[in-house]
Amino acid sequence: MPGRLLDAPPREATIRASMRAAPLLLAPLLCALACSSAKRPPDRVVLAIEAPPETLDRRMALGLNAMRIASLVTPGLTRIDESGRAVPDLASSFDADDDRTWTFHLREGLVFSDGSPLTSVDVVATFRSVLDPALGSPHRGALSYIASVEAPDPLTVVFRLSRPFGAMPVDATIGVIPKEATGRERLDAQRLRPVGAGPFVVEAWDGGDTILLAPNPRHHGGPPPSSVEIRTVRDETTRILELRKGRVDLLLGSVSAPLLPALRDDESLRVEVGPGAGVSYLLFQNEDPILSRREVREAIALALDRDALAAFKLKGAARVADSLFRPEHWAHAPDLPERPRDLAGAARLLDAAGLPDRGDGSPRLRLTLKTSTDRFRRSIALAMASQLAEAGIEARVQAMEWGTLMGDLKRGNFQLAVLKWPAVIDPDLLRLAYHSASIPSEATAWGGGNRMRYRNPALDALLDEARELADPDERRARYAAAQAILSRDLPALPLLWEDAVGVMSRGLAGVAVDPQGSLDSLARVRRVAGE
Amino acid sequence: MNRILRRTGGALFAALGAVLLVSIFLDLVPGDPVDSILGEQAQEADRAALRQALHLDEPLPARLWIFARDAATLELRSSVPPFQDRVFDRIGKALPNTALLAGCALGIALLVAVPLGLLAGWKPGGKIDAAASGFAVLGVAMPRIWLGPLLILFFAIRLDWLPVSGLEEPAGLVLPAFTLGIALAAFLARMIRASLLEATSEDYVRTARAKGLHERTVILKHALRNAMLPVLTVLGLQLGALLGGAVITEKVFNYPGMGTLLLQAIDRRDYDMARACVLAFTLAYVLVSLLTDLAYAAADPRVREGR
Repeated sequence: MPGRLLDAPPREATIRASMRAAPLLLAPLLCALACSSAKRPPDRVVLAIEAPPETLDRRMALGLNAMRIASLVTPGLTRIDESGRAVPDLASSFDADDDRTWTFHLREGLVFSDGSPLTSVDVVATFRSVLDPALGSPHRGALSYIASVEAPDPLTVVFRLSRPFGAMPVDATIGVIPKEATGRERLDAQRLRPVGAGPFVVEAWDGGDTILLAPNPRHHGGPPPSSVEIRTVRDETTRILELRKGRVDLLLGSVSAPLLPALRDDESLRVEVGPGAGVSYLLFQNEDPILSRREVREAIALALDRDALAAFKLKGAARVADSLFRPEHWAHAPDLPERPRDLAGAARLLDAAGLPDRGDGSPRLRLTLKTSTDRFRRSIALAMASQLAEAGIEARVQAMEWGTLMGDLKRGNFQLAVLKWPAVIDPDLLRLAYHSASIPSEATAWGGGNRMRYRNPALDALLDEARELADPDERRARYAAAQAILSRDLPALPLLWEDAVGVMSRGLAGVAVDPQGSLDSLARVRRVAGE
Repeated sequence: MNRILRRTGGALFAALGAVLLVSIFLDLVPGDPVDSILGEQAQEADRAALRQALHLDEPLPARLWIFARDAATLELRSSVPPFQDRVFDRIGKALPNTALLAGCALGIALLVAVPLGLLAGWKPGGKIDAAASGFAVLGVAMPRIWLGPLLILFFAIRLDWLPVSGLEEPAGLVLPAFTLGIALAAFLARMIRASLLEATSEDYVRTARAKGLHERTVILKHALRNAMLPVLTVLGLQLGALLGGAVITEKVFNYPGMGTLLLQAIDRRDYDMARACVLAFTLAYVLVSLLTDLAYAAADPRVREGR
């Protein structure tokens, strides 16, 4: 065999050819280097987001980005303001005639971006399409309390409800589209190029990573000064590098706290931090033999140094929470106890609970603390565990994959856990979070947010009553009472209100960092010359 | 011919197996897909509706049948609301990008690895060998998630030559190709060196030298040709892996390829998209290994003649 190879001049050509082919493989690369880069127009502002929307049809949208971008093109009767309240947007005003009838009055002279007038007929068609099972909107169930929608005249829409629901105006944020576009056969067109009455129109989107929004010259508030490009950049490091390169002008909310100090040091960037609607909270398993005792939960709350977590872990972009609602929220209850760190107080409570410090270095009690595998969240949990250790409470941190974690929490298979409500808008959230009907079980198909398995009939009654009231002041009073009960009972400890963060290039003006992450301020953003 | 038919049959079988396995694993993943898709504020009615739309109330075999039916008619759509993304349109856009990236990375790797491995294997223990070994260790050990941003910092930001990410400009191909190519080059250089060393200790090389052939002829014509066989195998495997979407590199560079598509499908719990991606990967992998086989036959008469 070797002999054969030796005398036949074998096909060394194959090897040579493959070596020659290698540069050929590189041809596209060389071509790429030779091509010049396209410059973008000067009046375009580029926003980077972390995941592309699945649709721009607000009726079908589930993801936060999808809803936020869709609202720029197809706003609804109402929008949510900085205090979490529904305020008129396409509507000029709205009222509850009685607890089951809501009337919305449209602004005069509204037109869609295609020039056709926007009247109550379009609003009715939009809502009827959402409620129509044939469309398959994922919001149908949530709106099923709407018994009928009618248009008595071109500027008036009347909603009749099958049960009283005070948060109805929050659901009226669903984007209004022309009557002719509401049908099932128009779904594909509405997904990529929705027609609405918003400040922007979709100029280009193929369902991929880049969305181009152009100013809508027919917008009732006047066209925005800049066009907007929304780019998906999935990796956080890359997002920031794009910002430093100048290819991206603006990040809203897609920056994690550990990066803030470095970004603040960067001369070319501006970091804006404002109150955010996200709140992290510590869950107690209220059916656990030890944690079912209020004084133990109280002791754990007192053992935590949440100021330190806000300062060091969240780099100052957070405040110590006393409720799920931030102080700026319309339903936030004043005068709730703050619970600053009090190790002596925690020790007294634990002594009284029969969990003494035996003086031999062994902990007063042992618990597990579950959190997600996200590195930042895990590091917060570890910091909390070391704070608890100073009070003689041993908390073993278990970082778990998201699906597994949620599975465990739903089934009550935990003692302590840290979670975050990403956007607290309407106080009816308390019903989802604390009502005994919201305890995940077979009966709720494992839905519901009361994973603490907290049961309090007085609170249940209060929350059931509050959601039926239409008057904001009456609602506020009920929800304040509910927050007082929750602060006293402490089924879960609200930890930190986490700030909303915006990072932008210095040449940008008009950006408002919205607590809920709304992108509405893109309609005012512009580049300032000279910076 | 017969062999190719046999291999193609095997390929289809492998693809089916992969899809089946992925479906079973997706089923075993803890957590409810309805939860991750709808969010927890969702109403029971909406949850039930989605469950039905996803056929989650049906057993796995039934779901697989539906998937196979839709895939066969190319009508397969994304399995998250609004169920509108056409799966094969997406793959059709992503796959050429990934193939382009894989090809460029492979080109870079070969250009670097072949001379380097050759020089290192020629004079083992020499300075070039030491340098090549150093490069190889560095290249293999450097995580792409770190090398990528490093290259961006230097070439895209400091020097301002290239875009940071994306493929809107063709120049966006350069950095990800190098990120992938460098690691592969390091690995290949080591392979070539090792198998060249092995080949040069064979009898036929000694014979060639004894015949008084020029050293260059001995190495290039006799030793290297034999040494390339194991390298070809590894090359095929690596190319298969590259076509499978270099997930991390694609994510760092926001490259619109298969890796990004798969990651997004997993994030959204888009089962059908994920399944179809895996199907595409498997087919690409099998195709590459088929080609490797053919290349093997071209390079080695023993294989060609079935000995």
